[in-house]
Amino acid sequence: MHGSDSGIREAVIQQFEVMSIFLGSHPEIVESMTMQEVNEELWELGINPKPSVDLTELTGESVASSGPPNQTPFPGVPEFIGEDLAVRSGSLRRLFARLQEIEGVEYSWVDQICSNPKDLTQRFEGAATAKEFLRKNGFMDPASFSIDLDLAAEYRGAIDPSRISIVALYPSGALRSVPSEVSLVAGRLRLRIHDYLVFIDPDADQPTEEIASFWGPVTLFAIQS
Amino acid sequence: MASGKDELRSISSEEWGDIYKRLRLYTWKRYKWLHYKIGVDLDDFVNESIYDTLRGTRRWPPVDENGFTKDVSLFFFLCQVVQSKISHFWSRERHNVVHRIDQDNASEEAIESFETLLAESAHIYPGLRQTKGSDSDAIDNEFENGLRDVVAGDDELRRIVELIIEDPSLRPKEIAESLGLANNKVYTALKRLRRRLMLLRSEFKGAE
Repeated sequence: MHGSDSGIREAVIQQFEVMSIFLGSHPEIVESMTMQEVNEELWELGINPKPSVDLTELTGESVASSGPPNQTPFPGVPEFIGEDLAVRSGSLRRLFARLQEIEGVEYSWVDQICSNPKDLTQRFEGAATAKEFLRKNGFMDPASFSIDLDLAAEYRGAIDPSRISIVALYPSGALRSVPSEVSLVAGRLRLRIHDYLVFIDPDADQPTEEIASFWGPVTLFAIQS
Repeated sequence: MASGKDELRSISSEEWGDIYKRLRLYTWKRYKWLHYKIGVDLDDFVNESIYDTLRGTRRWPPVDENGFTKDVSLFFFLCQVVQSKISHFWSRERHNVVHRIDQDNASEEAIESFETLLAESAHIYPGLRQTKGSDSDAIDNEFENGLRDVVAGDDELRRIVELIIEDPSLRPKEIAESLGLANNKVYTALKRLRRRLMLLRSEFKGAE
């Protein structure tokens, strides 16, 4: 079947891949994980921890949301994404861990983060082409949405919205700046983001994959120059 | 003694929420490429598995051929149900999937690799060291040597890997029992092994 060094190498790589999959997903190991680890790994996979079905209906039990505690819609989010948008907090630790994984790059601006990051997740319908993707998800016309970022309690410096930049972190590790209007309202940064495509990971090709649907998770945070 | 139905009813809403999340994590970690390649919604398998178990279509706890109840946790049982459903799905769809990949002008090696990955992952245990063909010995040897290289200097992992090479179907608890280690110690070691394997796989790919 193989008959060459490259064929053997390919087969061995595949064996490693299979073994990695099995080791990473062994039921005993998943069962031994804490719920925090489960939530974090779901996030890493780009999956919203929020159930995609009504567990009450499924189990006949009165099941409380198994998602994170602060999944309630927040002010300014239009009805359009209200059902699918999940907001999680406490991701600063994970953000720093992710940044530390990226070797050889100085992130001197990390010290200047002036607000806690916020995780958002949006569900998209997949499509074979970018145009079809925009049409299926209702992005043919310009749209925008608002979110609030809480200021970090430990930050003691002055906040100047004109010097604030909003940055997005994606599961692939990609970072990009987010065009947005920033204002300081009652001790919070209010962002007006002009594009739902902020959820699309620039290092992934989800929009043009022939897949039924996928979750677009992103962590937004602010830095002050 | 409580029946399976009674035991299922006694599971609290909070416990169901945790089981549901863990089952999704298991399913997506093991089969995410199935979603990415052909668009199947893996949550359907998760939901059907829970539904079937609650309705008694899949009986938990399972019984052996002598009618004795097997000691299998609900979560592990649900993982087996998901695996079974995906295995059946794969049996039905494999020809269509391979045909579609072929239409995308994928190379013969890529098709073979994907098909094997699908078939492997549709089982509960990996079919390591079961390669067939004239190069099977060379593949097995290189695989085993690669595994031993990756755990060199880590005596705990080395002992674990030797057991896995001997019998890939060993459960982590069985490995722990064989080596006289705590379960958590083995879980941590296996996570470490996975990280090293991913690194090794990248190095192999980079050398191509």
